Amino acid sequence: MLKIDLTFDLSAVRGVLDAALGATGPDRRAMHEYMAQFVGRLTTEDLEDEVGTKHKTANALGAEPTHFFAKAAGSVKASGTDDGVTMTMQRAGLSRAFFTYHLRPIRSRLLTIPIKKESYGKRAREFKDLKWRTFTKEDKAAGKTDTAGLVLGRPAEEKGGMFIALFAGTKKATVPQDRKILPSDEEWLKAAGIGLTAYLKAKLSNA
Amino acid sequence: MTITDAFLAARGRGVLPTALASRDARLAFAREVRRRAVFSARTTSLIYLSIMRDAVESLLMTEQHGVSIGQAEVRLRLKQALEALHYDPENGHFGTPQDSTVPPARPGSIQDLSSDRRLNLIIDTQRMLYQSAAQNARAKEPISLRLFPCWELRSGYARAPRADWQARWVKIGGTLYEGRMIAPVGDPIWSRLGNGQTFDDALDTETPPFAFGSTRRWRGVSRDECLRLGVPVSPAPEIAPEPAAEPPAPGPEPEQIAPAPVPENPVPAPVAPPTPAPVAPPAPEPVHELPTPKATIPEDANPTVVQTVSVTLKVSLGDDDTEEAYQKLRAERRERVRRLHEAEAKAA
Repeated sequence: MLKIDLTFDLSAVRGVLDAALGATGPDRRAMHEYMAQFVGRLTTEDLEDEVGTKHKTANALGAEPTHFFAKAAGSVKASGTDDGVTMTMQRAGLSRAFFTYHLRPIRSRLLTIPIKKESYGKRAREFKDLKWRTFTKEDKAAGKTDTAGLVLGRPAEEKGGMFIALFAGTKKATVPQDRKILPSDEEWLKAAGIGLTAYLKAKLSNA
Repeated sequence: MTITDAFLAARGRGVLPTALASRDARLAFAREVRRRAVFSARTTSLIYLSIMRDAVESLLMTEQHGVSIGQAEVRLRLKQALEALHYDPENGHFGTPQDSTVPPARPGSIQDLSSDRRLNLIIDTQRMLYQSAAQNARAKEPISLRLFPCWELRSGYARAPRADWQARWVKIGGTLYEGRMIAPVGDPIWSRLGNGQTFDDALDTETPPFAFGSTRRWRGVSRDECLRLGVPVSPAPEIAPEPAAEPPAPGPEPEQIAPAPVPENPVPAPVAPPTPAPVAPPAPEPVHELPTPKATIPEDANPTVVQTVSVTLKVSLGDDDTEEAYQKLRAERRERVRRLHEAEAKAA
């Protein structure tokens, strides 16, 4: 799960708030809730529309995208607190917006990276009877396999047939940070500003 | 309410093995029975249903466990369970006495419980049911209702979506606004859209997905937009110092497992649009000096656990027309990311 705590420096709007709300100032929690509505809406709709992804891997493999972002959108929850806005997203993969991950295998010796349409979005353990093999470029040229290197795949059913590699084996992998998969700080700030305006409008309409 | 809350509200359900197809199960079991039980069409194994319930729980209960598992991991657990139970789609399924009435299933088809299509359908349906139940509960909070009093049913990510959604909408008495399916939050039309007596493939739910395999979802429609389109909405609730308590938690219901129950509609009947709000004070120039996020992460961090990021933003007021400002912000974001994608493609 990814948890994002947004806190706000109100110094730039202090004069406006004082003029509009008087000495009592804003009800911070309610004000932050208005901000949260727009910050959350921006984030949810952005994920739903898959703005931050071009499905590069799926497209390269000719596979149907997993729609990870669109599915994660429904888990976004933004709430106003006394201190600011807290936004949570249940899919930990979204934290790649902030961090580069260096992955290493935990339960086995190798990570398995999908390299075919058939294996995209799946775990190697979902397949039966896969075998590890190491092939050279010469093996590939000779038609023994469709992919060189250390691979996990399906052995040929007939003698002399081709080994179909489904996963590449590796001891570590890096998933680079990609800030654009979520709205930028500035975009969240603008959304919060819209929420603040909505709060003031609501407050003034009640006055 | 989060999806974890929605799931917690639905916990304690029993499992209901059945050899019946979805449509027949709907006729055979009352809605209340289906709501209180986990079931899946043509699934007779009590053990498998229990494992299914637990696997879905693992997917949705991140907040409880602090660990996130994905769809592939859930699918794997279910496949392993089916294998351990000697499930065979073509020959007798689980081998239970009830299975004698279940017709053989073509491997890989939606009737094959171990196929990716079937497992993804179950997982996607469950995820959407709980996400939209949580979304629906949050939308009934006063500030949400004030800002976004209506839902719009929008297209999802389906590659070949159903073409008849607008026809369904009109059939149940819905109004199209500029071709858009919009109705107030909590309006009875939403449960009519998911009514299995009206539509064969409906899930008997008042929240998305309304039909089997649908990826359509709700999006909040702002009060300004509703007024522009002429959608009748209730007056904006008074602004309160503290948000009201959450409405009753939704219970589950099934396809596959369980659409949320229909809570009492907290939205009053539509009335005339409210008087437009007064104009806000003039906005100062936006501030663009943004600090870098404070959080850092060690190289060997486990990406499946909870990660927290803290950011401080120097806030300024947005434009007076909040909806216009928001749509402008979204357009700018799409354009910025499009340029970034282009630059990446060139660099590659």
